[in-house]
Amino acid sequence: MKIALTAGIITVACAGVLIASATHAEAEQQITQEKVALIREQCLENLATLNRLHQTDAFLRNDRGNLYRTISDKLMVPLNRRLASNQLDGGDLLTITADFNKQYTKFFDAYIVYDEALSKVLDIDCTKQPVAFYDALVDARRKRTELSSVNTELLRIIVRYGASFEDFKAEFLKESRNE
Amino acid sequence: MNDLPKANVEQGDASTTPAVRKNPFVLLITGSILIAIFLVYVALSLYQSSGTLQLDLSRPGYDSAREEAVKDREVFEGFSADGPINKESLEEFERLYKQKAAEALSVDAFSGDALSDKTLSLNAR
Repeated sequence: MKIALTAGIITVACAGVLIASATHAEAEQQITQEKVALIREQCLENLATLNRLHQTDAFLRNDRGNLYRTISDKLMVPLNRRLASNQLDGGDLLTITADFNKQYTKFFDAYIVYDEALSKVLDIDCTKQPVAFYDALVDARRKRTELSSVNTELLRIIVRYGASFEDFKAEFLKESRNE
Repeated sequence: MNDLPKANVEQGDASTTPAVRKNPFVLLITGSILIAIFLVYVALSLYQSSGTLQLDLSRPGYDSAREEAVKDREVFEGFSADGPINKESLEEFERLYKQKAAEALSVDAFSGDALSDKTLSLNAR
């Protein structure tokens, strides 16, 4: 029993190592000698571009973050409170606000992960370590895509809240006319 | 045999304790510096782990981002949580929400291929 268990653990560990090395090999295979030469050639220009992007993204993160917080804290939450204090049912609006806040937390975390990845790219000397630079760049690219999809979902929630509010307003005005 | 180490310890106590007692100011400064270093360490750890580091535009090298951020500092009052719900209040909310939603939807942030091989001229010829 013990031998079987040990053999099982060793098999799983070996499989893990093989998968990891295969993934790493795949990443390295993408970097041809021509690409390495291009990375070295474009190194200074790319570092300047990435530095500018880093700054622009920092501003964008602040700007979008403030806007999303404003939408939640100064619009969604006050309306929900007002509905509650007037004893009106804003169930959908409450759910969407909760979804928005959850998604904002994801946005907050995704940006930190992306910023760390981009900082890592900028820390690597692309003339001396072109392969490491490219690997870090691919990683930062993937994290930027993740951040973008989290941001897109936030925008979808904003649209959803607007549509839900329109439904609520139409229903409320219809009921007011009937009374 | 046992008397010798004991004597040394006593001698050691006698030589160190008065030195500290003679210079309480040195002890105070050393203690203050150690406490300050510890508090700075805690503060910087929180600064990094909370994500404030990434949002801090006052860092060196973020001059242009800082200038952009200062430009649009308008105060948005928002929608009041108090008051009745009627046609006017709902229309007021609708106006404010549409304004902010349009601002949010006008920029597709972090999209595109800013880090692509093509943008960085890393495409094989």
